[in-house]
Amino acid sequence: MNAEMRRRLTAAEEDLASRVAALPEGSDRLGDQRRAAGASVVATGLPSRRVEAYKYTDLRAAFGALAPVAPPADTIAAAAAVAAAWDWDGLAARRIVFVNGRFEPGLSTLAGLDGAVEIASLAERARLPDADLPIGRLAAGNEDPVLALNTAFWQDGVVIRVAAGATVAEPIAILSLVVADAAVAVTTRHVVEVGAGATVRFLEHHAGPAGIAYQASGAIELDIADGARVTWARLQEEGPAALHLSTLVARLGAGSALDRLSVNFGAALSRDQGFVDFAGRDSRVGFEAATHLDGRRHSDATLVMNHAVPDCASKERFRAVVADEARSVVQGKICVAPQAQRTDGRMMTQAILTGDGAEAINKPELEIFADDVQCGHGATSGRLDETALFYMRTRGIPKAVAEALLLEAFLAEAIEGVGDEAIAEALTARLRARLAAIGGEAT
Amino acid sequence: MTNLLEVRNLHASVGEREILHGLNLTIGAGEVHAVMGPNGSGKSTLSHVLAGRDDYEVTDGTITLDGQDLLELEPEERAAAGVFLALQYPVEIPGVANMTFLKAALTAQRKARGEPDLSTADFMKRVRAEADKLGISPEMLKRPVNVGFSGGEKKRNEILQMAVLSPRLCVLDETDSGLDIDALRIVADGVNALRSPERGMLVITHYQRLLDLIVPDVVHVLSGGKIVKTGGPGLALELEERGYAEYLGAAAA
Repeated sequence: MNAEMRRRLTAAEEDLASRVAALPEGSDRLGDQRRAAGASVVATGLPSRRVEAYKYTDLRAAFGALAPVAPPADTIAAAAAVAAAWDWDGLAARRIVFVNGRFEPGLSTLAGLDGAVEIASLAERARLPDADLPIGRLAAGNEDPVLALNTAFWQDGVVIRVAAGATVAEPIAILSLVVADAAVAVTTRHVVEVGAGATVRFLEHHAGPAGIAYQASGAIELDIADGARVTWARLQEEGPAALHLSTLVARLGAGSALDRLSVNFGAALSRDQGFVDFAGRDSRVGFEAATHLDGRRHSDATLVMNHAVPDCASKERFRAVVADEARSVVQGKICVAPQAQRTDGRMMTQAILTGDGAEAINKPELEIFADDVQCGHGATSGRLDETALFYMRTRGIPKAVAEALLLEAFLAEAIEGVGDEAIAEALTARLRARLAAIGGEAT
Repeated sequence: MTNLLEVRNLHASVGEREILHGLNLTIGAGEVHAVMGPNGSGKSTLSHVLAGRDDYEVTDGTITLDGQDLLELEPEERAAAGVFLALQYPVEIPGVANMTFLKAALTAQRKARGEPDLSTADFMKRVRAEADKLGISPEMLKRPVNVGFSGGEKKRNEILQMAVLSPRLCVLDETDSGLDIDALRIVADGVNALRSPERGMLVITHYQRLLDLIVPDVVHVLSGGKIVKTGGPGLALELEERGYAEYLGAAAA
């Protein structure tokens, strides 16, 4: 307690305390939830490197100040930003759009959306009397401070319900844009419930302006019922000065599957954290990450895979290309409860360091209390394969092109791991364009 | 006949150790030369120095192709100028499809030479036709370069690249190693099909058997980092019979 009392508040923590104190009074569940979550972060302070889970991503140091909540974007500017946004090479025909943390029904393209999919704005629901929002159902008991900040301050979000047994042909895209010319804070919260036996794909895309140190926070609670299959691909392309925080809390019923891919290109500092609970037998999770970092970017992928029941499999592959003085952090924890026999858990972290000051940090953890399990983790990091580079050059491929091809191949393997050809193709093309743009800058 | 490749007084080292001690070699257009020699004589060094591997330092001498100084050029520039090295151990490149690799190589070479890019249709046609001759399936073309290929498949893939890229000078570095006789024949047929009056070939090998199938115009013996004897195809047979023993001291003398 003494340490707590001696702790000096940073400017951001002072902002935080006054913002939590300013949360509206009231006796509704939602207000209680916000105040409790906010108070918990005020009590502990922003997570610093002294907190084990934030050892390599010190948010107390990273937050100079809390940016003011983003005002609604000018209609024309918002429409222009949406029009300019990447459409996943045509895959994102049905798009739920958020600009500056607010749902934009007018800019979203929901017409023709599969009837089995129900979408509603959280902020709108919250205004109804006796609103019973599903927020926090999966996140209950999770004390992560980034998630708590999101719970305290979310501006808007959607509840998406996919009917049991439905097979949704077209992917559902969620686009989160920031339109700003000064630092702002944007906070969204989504709740997604996939009914039993349903099959659905989601595309999540984050983008914002260059040169603005905005703060974007998003959290998703994803509830996958028995026998459902979900593919979730996210592309983080925040502006290069932005701070990006993302949390996924997922629960899988029996016989279900989740294939999740996280592609990270943007932000000065980003953290993509996942908390996955297996709640029913015979389920499978695949986590793939493809990260490309340059400059002094810092990217953190943190995952807690919780095997609470028997006969489930989880497989993670984190791949990163780290250029210049960038830094990639991967923290992966696989927990296997005593009763979770025949768990198959595998985690692999691989980094290619192309910059002299580049860094890859890997912290795998296995917490295994069952005896009949197969769990393992591995990590590699190194330079590009010189032999392969020479071979390609002897065939006439210039060094820069050969390097880009090898880096693309390395990250594309993780992208293809999502198991959906159309999504993988679109994202690989996006990756290729990025590598070409960066190669062009270098020459 | 004009000289395609001229190597003059070539000295090359790896680290502190000099491996080639003043090597001379001239190959005319349309000629097939074989370089034979015992282990450690500098055969692979010669092939890698020609291709421009930077682990090897050239300390003296010149290499020209069509009069152009190769030592001034990067590996990819040498390739565009017409040098092709078929490796003893072709490299596996996970994640890069064979077709993508070939297209990138051909596109880059044509661009470097100021030639227009081939249309995708023409490119596919050319690759399929050459692949067919070498018994390379369309499925192999889609797979990552050399990944999971057998020894024979890797060597055939090298010859496919050579055929598609159509170089001025083909350097075959122990292409026969690790091949059974059937695979060897397919590879040799592929190489022979590429013999032409405009093209030179340098076949580097330890054994005679490859030269039964790819019959050279000239045979050189490389020993101790120098060419110590040059002769006709008969020299290869002599070596097969008597071994390299008599040449082992020659370089030092």
